[in-house]
Amino acid sequence: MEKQKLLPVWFRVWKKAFSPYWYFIPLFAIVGALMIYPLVDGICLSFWSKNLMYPGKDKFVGFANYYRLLFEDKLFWPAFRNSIIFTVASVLFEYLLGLGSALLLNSKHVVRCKNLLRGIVLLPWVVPIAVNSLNWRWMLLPDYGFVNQLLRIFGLGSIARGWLSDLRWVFPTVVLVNVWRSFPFYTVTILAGLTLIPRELYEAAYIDGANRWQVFRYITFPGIKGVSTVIVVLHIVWTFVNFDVIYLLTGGGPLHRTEVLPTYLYQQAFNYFNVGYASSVGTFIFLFLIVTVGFYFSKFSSLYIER
Amino acid sequence: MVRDCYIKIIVWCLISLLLVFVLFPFYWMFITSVKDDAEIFAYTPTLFPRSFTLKHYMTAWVYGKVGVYFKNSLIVAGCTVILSFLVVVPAAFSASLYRTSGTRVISTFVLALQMFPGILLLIPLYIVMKKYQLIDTYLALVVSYSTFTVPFCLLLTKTYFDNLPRELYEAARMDGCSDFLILWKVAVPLILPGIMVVGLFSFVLAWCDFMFAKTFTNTEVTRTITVGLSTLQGSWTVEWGPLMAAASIATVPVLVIFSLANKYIIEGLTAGAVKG
Amino acid sequence: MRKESILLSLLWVFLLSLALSIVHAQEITLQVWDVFDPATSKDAVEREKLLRKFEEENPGIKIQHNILTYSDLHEKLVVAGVAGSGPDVLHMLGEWVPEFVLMGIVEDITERVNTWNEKQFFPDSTWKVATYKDRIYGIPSIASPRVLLYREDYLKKAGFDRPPDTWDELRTVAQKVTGVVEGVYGFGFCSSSNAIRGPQEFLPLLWQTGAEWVLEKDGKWLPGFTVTQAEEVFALYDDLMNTLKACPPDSIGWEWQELDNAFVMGRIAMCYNGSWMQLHEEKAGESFKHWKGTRMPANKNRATYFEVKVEGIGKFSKYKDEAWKFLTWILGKDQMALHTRHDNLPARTDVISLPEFQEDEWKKPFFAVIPDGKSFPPIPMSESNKAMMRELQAVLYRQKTPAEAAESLLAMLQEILETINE
Repeated sequence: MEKQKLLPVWFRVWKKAFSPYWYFIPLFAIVGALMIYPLVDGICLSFWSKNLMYPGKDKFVGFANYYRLLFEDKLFWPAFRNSIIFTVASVLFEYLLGLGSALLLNSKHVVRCKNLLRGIVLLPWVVPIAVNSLNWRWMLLPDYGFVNQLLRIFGLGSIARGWLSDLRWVFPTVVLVNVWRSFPFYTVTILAGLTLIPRELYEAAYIDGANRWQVFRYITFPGIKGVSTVIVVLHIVWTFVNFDVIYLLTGGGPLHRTEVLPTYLYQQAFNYFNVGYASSVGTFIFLFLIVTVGFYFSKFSSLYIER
Repeated sequence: MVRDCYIKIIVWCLISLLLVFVLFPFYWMFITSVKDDAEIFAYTPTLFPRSFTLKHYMTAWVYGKVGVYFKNSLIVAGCTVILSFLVVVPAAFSASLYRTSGTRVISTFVLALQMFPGILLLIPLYIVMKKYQLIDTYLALVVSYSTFTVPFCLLLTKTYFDNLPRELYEAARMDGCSDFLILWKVAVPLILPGIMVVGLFSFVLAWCDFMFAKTFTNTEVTRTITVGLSTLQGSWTVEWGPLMAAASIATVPVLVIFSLANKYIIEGLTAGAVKG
Repeated sequence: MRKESILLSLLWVFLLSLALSIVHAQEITLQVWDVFDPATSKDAVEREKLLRKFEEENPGIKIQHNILTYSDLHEKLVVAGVAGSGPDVLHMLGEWVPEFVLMGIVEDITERVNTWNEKQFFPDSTWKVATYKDRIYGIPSIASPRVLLYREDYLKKAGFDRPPDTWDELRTVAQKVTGVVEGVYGFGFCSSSNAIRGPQEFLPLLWQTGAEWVLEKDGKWLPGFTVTQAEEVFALYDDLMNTLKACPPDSIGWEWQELDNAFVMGRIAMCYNGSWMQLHEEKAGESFKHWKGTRMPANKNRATYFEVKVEGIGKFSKYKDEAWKFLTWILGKDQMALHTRHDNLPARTDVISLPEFQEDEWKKPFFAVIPDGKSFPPIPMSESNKAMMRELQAVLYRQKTPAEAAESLLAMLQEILETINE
């Protein structure tokens, strides 16, 4: 205390204004040292015509990449639409399943092996996606895949099909695999949120004669709203930019039925080496997410101010 | 009581359904890993293994070096957790304590970093890593993982800090605590269980990564389990036995860790809730 | 603020201690990036032993072996190469050579090769794959042609004493064999959107019609096939899949993993495949003795895919002389005889003529078809490969007739070649 009084006035004023940001220094150190250059580089590249195979021929083209992307590329819009459907469907089902399983595992009826059950639910998330995809590809094979065999055992042989080659079913199948893989994340996060809600609140509500739905609506849900927003926002972003699940399962096919923007981008960047064009796809994804998720996020920030 | 009983039955039925949904690929994985080669490729695949062999586990362990990769993954994921803590906790505290527009902009910005597809960042990131001479070190992986654990952890930790009553801070300030002391002595102990959840997630995120791991590791000194597993897919043939055995080896300890961690976290969370 | 600085210095101590874990090696370390994983291949076990032997014989040189699958290796080589670094020794698929040369990430070793006294032991057809615009960028290591792999017992059961030798016979045999044992289909092929094995089956069929994929004329690349020729190929696929129903109905989109699996399990009677299938000997059990290889059925021509893999020196290697020493050692006669013994085939003629290779029943049909073998044209092929598979899928799903698909394939190729010729 004594020491602080000796500091010059300007320093104290400066310190006061700056004090929130001291705490961000480690964050800035990491992000600044690592991410800023790649990000800026990626965005700048989108204004260049650059192919890795022709190193001497880089050319500044302004918005030509974007023009080609938005108005000339026949594969772009379907991929964009698939991306949106893929993201919305995945996040929706993941959230429902995650919420449902969290509520189940938090139920007062589950006492025995509670921790083991919670550990088990996390499993799909732990196996590397490369192994998972290969395993699913085998399980989903038409004639002798595990999935169809199970279906036949349960007398559902009529719906057995080539899940990854049927044009109508390939997209839902890919979504299912993605949901299977990601929902544990929701379960455990929501569980943590649920545990934080004081038991007394529930007891009070039941004494007041509230029914199950009301309890969920007015006690449970507000208690997990904060966490839910965080995971939903993050998963929208992660799913929208994720490429390996689809790439490893179907490679975007058959006939582009499962082509999403990230797989398209990967193809442009690492098969055709058009990194300039790929960067414009990347920047498009970036801007699109900032506009849509940013809108959601600003609402979500105000949520904090209220509380 | 009778009604309770029905509910209990329904709950357990639903849980069994959930377990079937979650576990059946693992069942397949596990039985494949103990079948002998001929049975794996039997004309009609068997749902219950007729043969039992640990040969594939030997292969995975001796040639696949799953043990070494497992250790590397543990170190890398563990360090990622520590680094994420160091980076995230002060920042989240500040964002929760001083709700200025500045701190909000920063949180949004950090989230925005996730929105650029990672594949495109590979080449420039590699250049950065090369400049810092970090290729093929644990550190390269740790810092690159922190780029995607940090946003998530920051937002989540902030929600935990936000849950603390603000009067607590005021009271501590009246007692003459500096902000840093408030963070260290008051806030962190209260949300410690929440921080553990965050740690768990950074761990899993780091554990599962494949893209950065394959790009920034060159030798088995740093190779993580995801990369180690991926080469077991083989370049000419898929060696299902060793692949599935290695995947099983990789899964079981994690299951144990999470079950134990869960126990701690849940108990801690409940205790924290009572205190708060 | 003092506490913060403690926190910060803690962070830096932590970071530094991690950084110190980098070992600064005194000796020369050669980075070798390839796909040979001892856990999945017997040849790789041999190769791993050879790496250790090389270290023993050359004290002062250490080998760092980095194993990845082909697609990951490709991606990693590109990322590292564009960032100006990479391995000392790299393993490449033949079709990567043009791409990597254009990107400038693989070293031109023409002079070294021309003064190497063992150059003569590698057939010219393999050197062609390692060559781009008359410069040599690698030494061939594995060279294996594709054969028609078939199940003799299934064919016999359907009343065929010999495998099909023409496209028409292929159609008949595939149709007749289908269902001869319950659940067995006559033929299987790859058509995945990832386009790895698929194009390697498609192009030989196109070559068999007498066509080429591309032709060079006055330094420009032109399409080497006509619509009719491509149509013939698409029609063959369409017949097998849709008209004769001789392929598993849901096999559209298969990649090599599914195809090989199906053959090992005895679900398909014929497919185009390579020597690595020998690795499945144990898994196939009894049925392995019915596996037979023969030349691919011909149309106008005989042709098959000759898959040559080459090993080169990284452009950014600091130890090019040592890398060359390593390459010539590991691809020398005695070493190659060891590490191409089980599931790969050697590129060197003096290894092929060794008795243990000549007398190997499994390898005989493969060596026999080498004269028919052809490799991919020396242009970047990724876009072409994707185009082939896309049109093929359109035919298989009956969204286009073979003629329409052939036309649009030709149009697409013309577009692709425009960029390449620039």
